[in-house]
Amino acid sequence: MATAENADKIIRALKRAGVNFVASLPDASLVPLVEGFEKDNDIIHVPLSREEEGVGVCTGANLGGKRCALMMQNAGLLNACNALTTTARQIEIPMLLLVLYAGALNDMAFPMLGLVTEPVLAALGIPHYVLDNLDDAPNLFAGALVQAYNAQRPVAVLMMKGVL
Amino acid sequence: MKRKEALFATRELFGDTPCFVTVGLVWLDWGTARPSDGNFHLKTLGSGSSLGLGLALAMPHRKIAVLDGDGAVIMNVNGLVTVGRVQPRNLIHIVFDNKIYESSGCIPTASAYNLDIAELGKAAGIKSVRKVSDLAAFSAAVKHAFDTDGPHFIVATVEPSGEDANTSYSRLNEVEGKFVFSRYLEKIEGRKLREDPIDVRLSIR
Repeated sequence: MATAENADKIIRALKRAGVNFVASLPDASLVPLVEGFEKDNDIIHVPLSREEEGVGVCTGANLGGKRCALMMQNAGLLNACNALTTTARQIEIPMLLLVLYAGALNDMAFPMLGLVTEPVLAALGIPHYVLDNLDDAPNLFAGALVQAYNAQRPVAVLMMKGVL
Repeated sequence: MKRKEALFATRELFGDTPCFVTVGLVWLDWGTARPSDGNFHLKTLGSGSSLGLGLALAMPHRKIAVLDGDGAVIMNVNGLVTVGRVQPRNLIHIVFDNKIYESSGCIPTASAYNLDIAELGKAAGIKSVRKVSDLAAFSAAVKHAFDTDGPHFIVATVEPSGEDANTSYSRLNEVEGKFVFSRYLEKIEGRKLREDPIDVRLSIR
């Protein structure tokens, strides 16, 4: 069960990495994070209705100087593939993809999603890292953002349900 | 009304406003009406409302415009839904509705049949929605959008241009386009916006 305490640690780690703009869609496990972003005065939060528009929203905000994260479940990552390719990769826009890794190790939901997630990211040329220990969040988010800006592309952090 | 004459009639109202422009002939038309580094060529069909929203939230003190088409806007109706929810006061979204996919073979869009795109904007709750089909009403709608708080959603019925859309893809490099637009934003804002990788690295303590 996702907790507000864990969400708070993740949000602090994102803020330490300089994230000040988040676009999101919820998942049951992401509810405390969505609520945390809504309350946070240092982060502009955009609640989306489909993940692909989030790539555009983060691209517009990035052009305006914001450091952006797009949070979604991995089903949403698949929804976002065209914009990730023809906007984020084609135009070279850095952003952090915070992806709930459904169907992964020990998770009973959406087994097919769990299988295709990492191969799809690899095909899109998007580096990805798995967050399976909350203590790693600060270094992983910061490192992923440095890589995103250095390689001028999105970088994904796949969050296991256990860390939420 | 032709799209090109609508753009020429209103270009001065835009001033130095950054504009996201959808794929196809509107890019050429707008580049002729208002040649500027502040014109950004979209790549993902339908992404205009989304990029416009993102930049509008990042620069709430400045009007941000989106020049869109009917085929594009109905590919990302979600973008309207989110604009209706977030209500960015500084966003001006203009849709030229020629009722065909003009840049990809002139096949009719849903607006040639039963769809009313302006009603989509109203249903999404976008504060200011206008549907226009002549030059005077279009000019008045654009002036209203620059003079008042929005978000504004203007749907302009236009005739197909009858021109060849393939020419609109010449002289474009997306990454160069990003840097040109980025430097333009920095110039009109008078501050640094683009973060180099080293800026990001050094900012993390």
